[in-house]
Amino acid sequence: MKPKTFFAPELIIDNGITDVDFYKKAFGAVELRRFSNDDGSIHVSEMEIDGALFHLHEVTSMYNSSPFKLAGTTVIIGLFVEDVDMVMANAVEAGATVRSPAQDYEYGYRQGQIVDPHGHRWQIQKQIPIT
Amino acid sequence: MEKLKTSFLPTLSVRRGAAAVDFYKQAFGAGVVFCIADPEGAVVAQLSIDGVEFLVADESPAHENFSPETLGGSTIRMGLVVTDPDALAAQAVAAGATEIYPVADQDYGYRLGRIKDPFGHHWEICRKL
Repeated sequence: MKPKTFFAPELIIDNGITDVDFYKKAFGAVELRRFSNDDGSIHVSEMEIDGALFHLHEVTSMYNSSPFKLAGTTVIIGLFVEDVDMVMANAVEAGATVRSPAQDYEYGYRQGQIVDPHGHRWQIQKQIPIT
Repeated sequence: MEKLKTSFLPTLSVRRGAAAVDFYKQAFGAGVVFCIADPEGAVVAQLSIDGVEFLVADESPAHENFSPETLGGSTIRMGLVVTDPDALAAQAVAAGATEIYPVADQDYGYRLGRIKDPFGHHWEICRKL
């Protein structure tokens, strides 16, 4: 069987993080497996949101770094979901900050943007009819 | 009604957006879904690799969209699961990417290698073992 091509983004998080419940509460993510350091902090956590695979990886190399260390992000993670408003509300309840509230855009998307507690930016969206 | 599939649509901030679009076409065989340029030449492009879409946009620090060159690093690595990671990584290197480490069987269950593209984004090209 041909494995389908897909993205599995790897989000860099700070060292010493033990709690990634945000992604479970906000997006209904399930943690598939975790590689921990001796002190119990996360080295890598493999998660999926309704079948969409992604990883959290602590800062380890000179090449990549966390949003807090770099004071910014280089990728916005667009996430297509069924119910933008519900996911936005769950994310805020779980500790995210709203960067722009959910609204309809004329190019055919309902979108809202949040910053998660680890500094990553998510664009929550679904396609809507173009008006 | 069919249930909407949850999926990612990453947006990569870069400098030299038009050149980046050309690179991704060559490196990953990406097709252009759309490409919009403003009068100054800054682009927003939606590209598709074997049906998987992502956006490339010239950075806009005023909107906190920073390229890896501006920040001196990147905050997300692009995991890309494909049928033949060896071939795709080789194609990307031929197009101008830098190999960080070669494609090899990793003990965590992936055949995976990492490259850095000329715009500073890192890609982990892989398939599950």
